[in-house]
Amino acid sequence: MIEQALKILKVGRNADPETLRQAYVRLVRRYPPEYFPDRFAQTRKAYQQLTLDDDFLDEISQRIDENTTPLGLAAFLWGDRDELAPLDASVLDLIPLIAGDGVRNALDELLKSSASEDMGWKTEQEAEQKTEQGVKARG
Amino acid sequence: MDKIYGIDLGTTNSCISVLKDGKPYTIPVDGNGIVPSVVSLDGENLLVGRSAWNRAAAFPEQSVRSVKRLMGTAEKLKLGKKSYDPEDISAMILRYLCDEAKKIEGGDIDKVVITVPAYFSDAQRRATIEAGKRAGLTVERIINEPTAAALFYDQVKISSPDAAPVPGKTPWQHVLVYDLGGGTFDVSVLRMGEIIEVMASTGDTRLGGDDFDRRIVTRILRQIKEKDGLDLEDYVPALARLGAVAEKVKITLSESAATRVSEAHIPTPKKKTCSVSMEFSREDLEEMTDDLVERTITSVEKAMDEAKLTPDKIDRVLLVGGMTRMPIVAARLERIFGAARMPVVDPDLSVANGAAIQGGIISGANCEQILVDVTPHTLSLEVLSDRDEDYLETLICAPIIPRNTQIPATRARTFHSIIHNQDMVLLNVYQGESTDPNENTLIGGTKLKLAKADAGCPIVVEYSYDLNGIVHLVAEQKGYSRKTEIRIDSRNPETSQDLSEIEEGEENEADDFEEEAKAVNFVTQRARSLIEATTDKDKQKLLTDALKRYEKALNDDDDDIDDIEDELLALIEENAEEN
Repeated sequence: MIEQALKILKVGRNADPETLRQAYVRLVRRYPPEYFPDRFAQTRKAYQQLTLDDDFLDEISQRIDENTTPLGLAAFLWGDRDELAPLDASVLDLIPLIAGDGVRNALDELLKSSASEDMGWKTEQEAEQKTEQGVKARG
Repeated sequence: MDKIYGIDLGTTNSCISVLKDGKPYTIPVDGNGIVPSVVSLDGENLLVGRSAWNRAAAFPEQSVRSVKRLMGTAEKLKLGKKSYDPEDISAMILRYLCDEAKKIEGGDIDKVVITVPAYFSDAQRRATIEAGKRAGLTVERIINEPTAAALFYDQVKISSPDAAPVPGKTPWQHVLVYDLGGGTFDVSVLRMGEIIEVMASTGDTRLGGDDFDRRIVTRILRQIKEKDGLDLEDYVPALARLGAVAEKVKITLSESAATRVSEAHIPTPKKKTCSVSMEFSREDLEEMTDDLVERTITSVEKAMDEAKLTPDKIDRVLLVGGMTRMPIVAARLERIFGAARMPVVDPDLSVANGAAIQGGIISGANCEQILVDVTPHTLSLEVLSDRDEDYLETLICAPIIPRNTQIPATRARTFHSIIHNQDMVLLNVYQGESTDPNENTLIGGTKLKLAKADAGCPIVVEYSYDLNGIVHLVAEQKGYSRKTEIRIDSRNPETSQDLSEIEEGEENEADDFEEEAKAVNFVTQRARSLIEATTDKDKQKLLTDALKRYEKALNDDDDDIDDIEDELLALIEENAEEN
């Protein structure tokens, strides 16, 4: 998903928030919502994904269910998956790490925090908390 | 494309504007363009605007004012012998504005953008569109008043260096629009730079100048009761007369520190009239209305909270609406934001002018300002609550697209079937902020037939919401390729369309075509205006060639059209920056 978002915003893996913002504004100026509604929605989503916007995290947390594993989530966030399907550890290799140490650390944190448990989250609240922890580690 | 006019359909006053040479201009209907939103019947003659306003105080039973407060309700209004819907009365005002503007401007007025308070409910927005229809107009878009005001401010800012962002600081400004009108209060927070983004919008549709007037009326009524023992609280002719008096007191006190009310011949039910003479000071008024001002401040805080900003992060505060002329309003905001951050914009005309700018954006006449607006209401799906065993049977609204989401937007959420081999799910779409479906508005719905599966089978529901308020719902039972789709026009729910029954590819072809035409128009317009503006011959040739390639590709229905379009847009961007 992140790979795709990077492609949409036409930025590299090491883009900082300022670069992301500039890329986003540039694309919205080029394809205004008034004339290119689909393109705008796509651009906006990509920007929200890359900046881990609250709106986006909110949507993610709503989609998490008891079948979602931390790895599944990680694969969804940073891999090339479009779904929050349950996954096992073997997908770890599939997950390309992007945007430098911040994201790498956050992912490590996320995996560590759930490693002691049975890799599955019982409730939405818990899942939400986990996602938030991941984000805080990044900030 | 035809000109699109901008109309501010206000509680007390209305205005109509249009773009002229790229700049908005208020058409001087009724002299200065500020038209009282009053309708009055004089025998057979229907009066609207200034002349109706003059009649209204003397003939309240044959006049209607502040109809905006009733929009979206089923209340009937009496005007002479006939009774009317609020939509009819608003339509009369719209018709008057357009007819008078036509006399001044010439040409037909058919397409309009009408502004509404940001916090107007869906029913109120629908009623506004209906009023436009009954006036024989095509309502191209309903936009929020504070957004319109911000669009106008942005244009002023482009032409006035004083208001531009300070160099070296961030290339954008956070702007808070405080819009206190005759009947409604709105506050929006926007980020304005190369693009204009609404971050949050909130308000109170039942708070405005009328409430301030009523406080003054109450005070006068009390005086009359003490002096003459008369209770005029329910006597319409007296209230209409005192209403006009109160408005004058309020307006005078914005300029002077004190004023005297001397009214003889106030009508009473007992055939004889009464008189009143009393002194009002600005402090009196401020004390009487303190709680009203505080209510606006609460909304200001809520809007900043929703935009996740603190007062020091707000670069500018725009005061819109006649009520912001009250010194206490500015003083109260100064206490939060400081005086330096309040640029002067016209509180009466900004909204209509902004609506005209939006009209230009839609028609393609204005390609420079790019607006990203938000959803005014939460869109939710009716589901069974799983929060608590005791509430297992409770239906709740689960938000899918929350309020203040930037549009057009698409969002999905996963739900689960509740019983083994459940055969279908009902998908009811609601609009509104409550978790209780009964308190929200049902705007449409469909069913999804399920394949046999265990309870807890995931069902992904995706909503898309576009600039015209159209909701596109796609629901899918994961893993069983069972899918349903529906298109709901939230502004006109009767025209909902079940798309699952239509052959794929056939759906909304007309819409797609129109959308594409708009995009093409935008691209060619931008290219042409840049070619005109550029003095550099080489650049002109470069752009002209790219535009020709683009137009040829369009004609030939070329497969590479997207790439050619991209190329042209990139070229425009490059050259526009240097200009």
